[in-house]
Amino acid sequence: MTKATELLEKEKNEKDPARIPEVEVNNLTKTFGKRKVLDKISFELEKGGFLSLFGPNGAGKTTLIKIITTLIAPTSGEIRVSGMNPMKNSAAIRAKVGLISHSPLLYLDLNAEENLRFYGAMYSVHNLDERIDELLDQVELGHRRYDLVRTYSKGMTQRLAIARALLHKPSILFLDEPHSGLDPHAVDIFENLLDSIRAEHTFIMITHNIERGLALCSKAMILYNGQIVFYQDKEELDIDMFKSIYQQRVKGDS
Amino acid sequence: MEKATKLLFAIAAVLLLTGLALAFLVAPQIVIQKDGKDVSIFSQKIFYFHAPIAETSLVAFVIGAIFGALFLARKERKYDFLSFASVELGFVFGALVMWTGDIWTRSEWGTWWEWEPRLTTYLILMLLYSGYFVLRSAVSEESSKARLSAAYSVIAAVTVPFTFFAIRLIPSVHPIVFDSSGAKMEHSMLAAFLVSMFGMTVLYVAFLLLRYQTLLAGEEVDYLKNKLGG
Amino acid sequence: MIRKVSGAKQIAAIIKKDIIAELRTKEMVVSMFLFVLLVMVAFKYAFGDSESFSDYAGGLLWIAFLFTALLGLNRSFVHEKDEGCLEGLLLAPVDRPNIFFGKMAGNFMFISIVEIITVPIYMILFKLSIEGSIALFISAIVLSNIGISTVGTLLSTVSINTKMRDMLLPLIFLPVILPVLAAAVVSTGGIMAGVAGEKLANVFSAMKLLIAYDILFLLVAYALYDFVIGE
Repeated sequence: MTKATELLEKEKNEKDPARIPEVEVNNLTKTFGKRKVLDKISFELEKGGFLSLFGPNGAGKTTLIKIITTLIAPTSGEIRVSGMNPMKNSAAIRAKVGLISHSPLLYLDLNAEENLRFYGAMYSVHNLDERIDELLDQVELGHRRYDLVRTYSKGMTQRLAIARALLHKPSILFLDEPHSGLDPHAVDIFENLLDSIRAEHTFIMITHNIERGLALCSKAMILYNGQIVFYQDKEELDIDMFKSIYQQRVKGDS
Repeated sequence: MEKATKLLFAIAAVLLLTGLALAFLVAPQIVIQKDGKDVSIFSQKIFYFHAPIAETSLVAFVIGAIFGALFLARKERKYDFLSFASVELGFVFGALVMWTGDIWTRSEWGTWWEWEPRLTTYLILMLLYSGYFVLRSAVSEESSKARLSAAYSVIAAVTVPFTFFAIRLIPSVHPIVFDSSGAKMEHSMLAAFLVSMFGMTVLYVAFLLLRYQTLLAGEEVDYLKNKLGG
Repeated sequence: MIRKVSGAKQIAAIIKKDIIAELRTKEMVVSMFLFVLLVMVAFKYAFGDSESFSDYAGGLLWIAFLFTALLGLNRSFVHEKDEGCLEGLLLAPVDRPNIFFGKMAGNFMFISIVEIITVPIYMILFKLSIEGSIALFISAIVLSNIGISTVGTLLSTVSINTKMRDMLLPLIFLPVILPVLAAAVVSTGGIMAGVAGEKLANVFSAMKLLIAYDILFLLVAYALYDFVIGE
């Protein structure tokens, strides 16, 4: 906990007025009746940062993501995404975020192109045809563009899901347990793809995979019962402390 | 709030007992012409309770929907509790409507059930609001449960008047019997009717407050349990 | 203004997507059509050679249609939920009512297609005819379909978000749609029998009820959809 507060202090002190953090969460609380789903969550994520979010089921990870992506209103606290308030600029924020989930968010009875066309219309993407060509090349699915997603392997579906998430050129990407259900080969391809888009995006990832989560991140956080119980920069990450807290909170609970 | 609830229960008891006395001791016996003979209908007395219960039940459904809409607007849990409590009471009063109506059909037509428009409407309302409880039990996450059932309480309340009119499109063998139009009623009958209607409404408010308090207490218990367990 | 144009485009894209998927799998229209035929054959067994069948013709037709609609409505959101698509849709900058209008229009279309095919078959099988105005008959069906698809889309979104999923839909959909059933039976039955005078007035009051129901529930769906589809 002390490390976490130190980091918060540091973030405050280093704050450069010209630099707006990509995601800024201050004293965020979400309650329902007596139950606190999220309790005074504060953190900051700079542009290009990568936050790995750990925690047992029901810790509030999904709620936190839903609040940042404007799907749920917080009870109190302040949030800024690219300097915007989710309650007031929900459409603008949604246009800037993308989601890669453990489910592909694709229609199985449509082919790759039809799926992308559909989401393109939802996001009002400009020059949609070119964008689709470009993305299908990038995820190496150009040759399967007219095949139904139903016929794809798990890895191919995941690649198309990434193309779908990048379609509207989001600046922030949310990853919701993206490794689950992927075989090692598919994980390799997934991470190569992630590497190639790493520079121009900010990431927040929910994961149960400690190894991958810590390898990818620039900041690591453990949520438990709606509270931050661990929050450190990767460079100064105390791996033993992380593991002991993780063991105690996450494993002990499940 | 507990004191207020007790007081309301007391008021309701006084009013309902007065209504009972007025209905049986003061209001005149209804007499109709049947085959040239005067026939007095004692079973008509149930009307002094049947109609007030029916109206209270409708009020409860409407208030349930209003609290439901308030919940959707404000997302505060107390509105969910109030909406749920009100729908629950509407359902209980609705069941009483069917029961008292049934007693009447039994004594008047000698059958346990008649497709009389008002009774049919209530049967459909009971089914409509049964859906509300099934829906609540089908959602485990508390805030989603509150959200979806609040939406359904509004949808159901909007359905009620349509059900009422739609039933009347279908030709019925029986005339609408419980005619509550005040014009034909004598003063003493109207008094009995109004007193018991007012009493029934006060009873509803008292039960609503009581149920609300138990729901709050239940939440407190859950909260403390979690605190100890966690 | 820009927002409105993109809203119409989004609705169109949702309808188009559902049509493409339906043309490919044909699961909704074909299964609904076969189901309604089976129900009609079941009627024949249930009623035998009853002479007075035409008295019940309107009622039976709508019972068949209502259960068929249930079948289709359940499918319509299973696709959205299965691979998490609904989540993806909610995350896009789409106004929630646009999702409703897109899905509702698709459901309206599929239900109507099945009815267009089955009404003539029903007439032939049971030797029925429309004595009254055909235009009036069609308007009564269209008005009923709007009600069915509006309430059906709204409530199937509710049911898909519960543990019971498609098991819940009949329990909440049928009691809410009963006024439409009654009005549809009275209006189409009356028109088929070619009634006049007081009974024709009853047909018109049934159609007025349908209009009021459609308008009110479109407004309710517009207001509530945001809360029903997600938080």
